Amino acid sequence: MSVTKETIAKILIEIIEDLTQDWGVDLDESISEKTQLVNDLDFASVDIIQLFVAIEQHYDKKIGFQDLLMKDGSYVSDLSIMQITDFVNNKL
Amino acid sequence: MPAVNINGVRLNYIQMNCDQGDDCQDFVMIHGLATNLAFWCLHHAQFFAKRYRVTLYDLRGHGRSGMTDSGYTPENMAEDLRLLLDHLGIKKAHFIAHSFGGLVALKLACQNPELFSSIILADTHISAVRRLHDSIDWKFGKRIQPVLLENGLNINSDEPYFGYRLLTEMARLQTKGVTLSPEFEELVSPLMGKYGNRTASQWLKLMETTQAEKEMMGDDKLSFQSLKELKIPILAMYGEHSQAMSTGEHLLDVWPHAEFRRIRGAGHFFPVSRPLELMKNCKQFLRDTCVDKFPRHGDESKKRYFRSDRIYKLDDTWFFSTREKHEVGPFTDIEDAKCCLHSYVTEMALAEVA
Repeated sequence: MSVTKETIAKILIEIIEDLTQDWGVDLDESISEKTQLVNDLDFASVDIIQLFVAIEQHYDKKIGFQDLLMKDGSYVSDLSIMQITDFVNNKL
Repeated sequence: MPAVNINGVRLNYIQMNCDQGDDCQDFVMIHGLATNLAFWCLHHAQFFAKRYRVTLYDLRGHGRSGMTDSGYTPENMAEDLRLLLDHLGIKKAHFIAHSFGGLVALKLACQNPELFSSIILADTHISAVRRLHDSIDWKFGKRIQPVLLENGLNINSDEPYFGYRLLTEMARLQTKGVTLSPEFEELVSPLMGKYGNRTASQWLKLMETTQAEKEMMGDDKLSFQSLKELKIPILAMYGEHSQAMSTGEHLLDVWPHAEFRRIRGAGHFFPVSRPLELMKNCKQFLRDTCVDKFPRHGDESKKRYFRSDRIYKLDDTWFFSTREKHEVGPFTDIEDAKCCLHSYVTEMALAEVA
């Protein structure tokens, strides 16, 4: 993994920890690249939007996350932090 | 995401800059019940941000906005919206609203019409029509009633607030992790959005621990007379199979200047299931509004009718509707549907001549 991707993943995890700090979600392990937003963290659709807005604000760039959320005309059911990291890395 | 404390509640919102720069009109998007600003955010908001500065927010008790004990009447939620617009410095905007969000928008429009460049309603059902439920024959409701009972949902599709009760029952099933049969899911999906566990839990908390249920199902005080006073450009869209369609039919007589569109074969959640159709209708309407074509219909004494696309897409296949209201299809390709429609029309014309 390149340094850039590591940095992106670290920033994503910080944003997600900040977003979820008062949710009381019990995790077996700490948040990592394998963590999934819906299955592991109980994200609702609005939380995913909130996360994407925070990422765009952090990088001060429109990233176009709709391409990540749509697959074959339907919304994907979940996303891992690694998938988001890869997507952001390709867009920056 | 930014938030503001107004009218005794924290309202969560986002704004998307217009692709064409700072000198764009505002466009405000209001979601319905048991969902949040994400309802409009991905597909639709990106589309409207090409021409407008888009504002989305979570209604009180929804999404990341605060949940208060009371304050859920359309009137008070219109005040939430008015204060939010004031906070954001929005003096005038185009509005789109789904379902209950439409009640909020209409209340605000009746009180502050100067804020509205136009209003687009998607399947908004008003209480003045809900109260007429005994005289309304909702065919799709009759079709799903036995299936609801078979699946242990003891709710009556003839009830005026059936849609709200279905949302609550489905949220209960969702939080219990009950897997629905494909047949059941297919029948109720036109009436439901898809939501995750947290959204379902939030809706149940709102219904079970606050005054929201009573206030939302009370009289919205939108009388036909007050709605008649609205002279702003209006586009009203309704799903063919939705219980709310009866409101659309009543509004035909209320707004002679409005545009009415029926989404064929669609239910209450057509903004999600048929986003391209919704956006196409909005684009046409907004283009006409911008070039001052409204009121489009010079003679306001003439009765208005629902218009709908002759060829339409349903579950990835194409259909066309005949003048005799028959549904013909499915076709895998729109060109096949067009070709068959052409043959059909030619055949009917020849039959008439003969």
